[in-house]
Amino acid sequence: MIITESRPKKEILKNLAAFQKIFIFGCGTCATKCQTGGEDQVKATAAWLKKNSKNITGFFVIESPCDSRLTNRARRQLKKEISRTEAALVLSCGAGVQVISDILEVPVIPGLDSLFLGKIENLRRFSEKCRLCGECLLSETGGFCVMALCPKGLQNGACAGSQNEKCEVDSERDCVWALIYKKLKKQKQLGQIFGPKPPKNLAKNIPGRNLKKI
Amino acid sequence: MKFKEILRNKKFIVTAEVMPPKGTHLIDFWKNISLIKDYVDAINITDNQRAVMRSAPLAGAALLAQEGLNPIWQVTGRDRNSLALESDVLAASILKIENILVVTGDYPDKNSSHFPKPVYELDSVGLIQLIKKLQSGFDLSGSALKGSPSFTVGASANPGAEPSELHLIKLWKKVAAGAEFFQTQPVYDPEHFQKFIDSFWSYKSTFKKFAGLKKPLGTPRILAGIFPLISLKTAHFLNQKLAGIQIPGKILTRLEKSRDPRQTGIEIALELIAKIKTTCDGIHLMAMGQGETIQEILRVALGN
Repeated sequence: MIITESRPKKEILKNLAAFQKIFIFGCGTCATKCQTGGEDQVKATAAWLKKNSKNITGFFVIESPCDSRLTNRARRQLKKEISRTEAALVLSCGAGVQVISDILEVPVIPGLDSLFLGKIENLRRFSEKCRLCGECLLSETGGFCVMALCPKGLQNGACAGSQNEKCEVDSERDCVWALIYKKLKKQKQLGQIFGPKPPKNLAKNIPGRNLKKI
Repeated sequence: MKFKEILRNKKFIVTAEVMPPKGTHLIDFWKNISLIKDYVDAINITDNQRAVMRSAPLAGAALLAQEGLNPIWQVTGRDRNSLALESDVLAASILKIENILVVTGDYPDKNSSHFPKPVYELDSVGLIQLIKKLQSGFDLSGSALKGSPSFTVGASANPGAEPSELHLIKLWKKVAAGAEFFQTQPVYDPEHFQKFIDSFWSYKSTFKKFAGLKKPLGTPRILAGIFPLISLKTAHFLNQKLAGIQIPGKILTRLEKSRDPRQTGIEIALELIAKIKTTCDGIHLMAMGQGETIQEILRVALGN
């Protein structure tokens, strides 16, 4: 799940300052689960913007705004409302914002900040799980991602900065290498961390990645 | 004598660390060096310790090499990618530096007014491998070098780190990669340190078995870190700001009750050195710019 949080209201109003007629898009997938861009949040945002003397030309929650097929379909359905719109506010992750921005002619304003790819523990707790590095190492690290869970992304074991099995950077957080060690020890797989690991192939992680399937 | 030979032959080795100048003035740097140089076998020049900016240790280490001293150039993987590190290692060799200490590097302070982007492309094991690769006459991309460097490589160790087996595995990985000596984080509990040393050596055979190593594992020399606590404030600072250090309560109480904390701190350091002298191969003094304190301790500890 892409974990998002609402951008500061002040920022959103600043971004919308030059526009009067606003259309609001939500996301039916991740942002709905995070309760940042679902039906309820889209409606609440519409009411809040009205209070701030904006005209709401309409609102719609796209099942997955990051899927351009669904977003294009929504645009066709909402042609009339969009034609009256000066700017769109999108309550989704950055991917959804950009897909919508690609197909609309009017300015598109993000309503959320995209934080990380991770786990929803409950509606108040979310934790990062994956850095999308392009080369999965989870089979060698007891199912814990060192790229996502170690601030230094260490491949060969814990640094000397961990104290009482907690992280040097955040003493509230478990050192991921301590977790890996305990899990592998329990699974009798500790041998996996004895060999030196080569640095990750960062060429698989150059921004602007595309995937074309044959 | 070169540090390589000292590591091989000397019974009790003494090193100390000096921070490079913050700025371009060298007065304090040379003052600290001149206070300690007659008492130590080699001098570490630290690399942006605690991620606080100072001049690059390559310059300080090169200055010591010019003076005929034995610098140990500290290198972290925090601030530079593999390309920069490779070229710096070659530069160090050109500047006649012969000893390197590799460390992962403390994480930058999230709350600082300026947060530098941490790199960490290579960890300490990766750094040793990089140096060994250059020594073999090739760079990481496999291109041949015209002249290859030669270094004595060391690494750091934290005797208090838990889970201990996880940290022992990493220490032996460093040895397998080519580390010839360890300088430890500050030691304050001699009994615990003794246990750490015992478990380190007894883990060698386990590591060898599980790592499936064909070539024999080296026998690194271990230098115990000694950080004199010249005041209660220093002790609290170390506890809070230096990663991986825990000072026992009884030492804090002793400093608190002392009328002359600096003298008490020196006494504590001397007692520690006396207790661990037979446990390890030497000591590594750290004092963050306190050259006089290091000199005073070494004068007594070494009996001259």
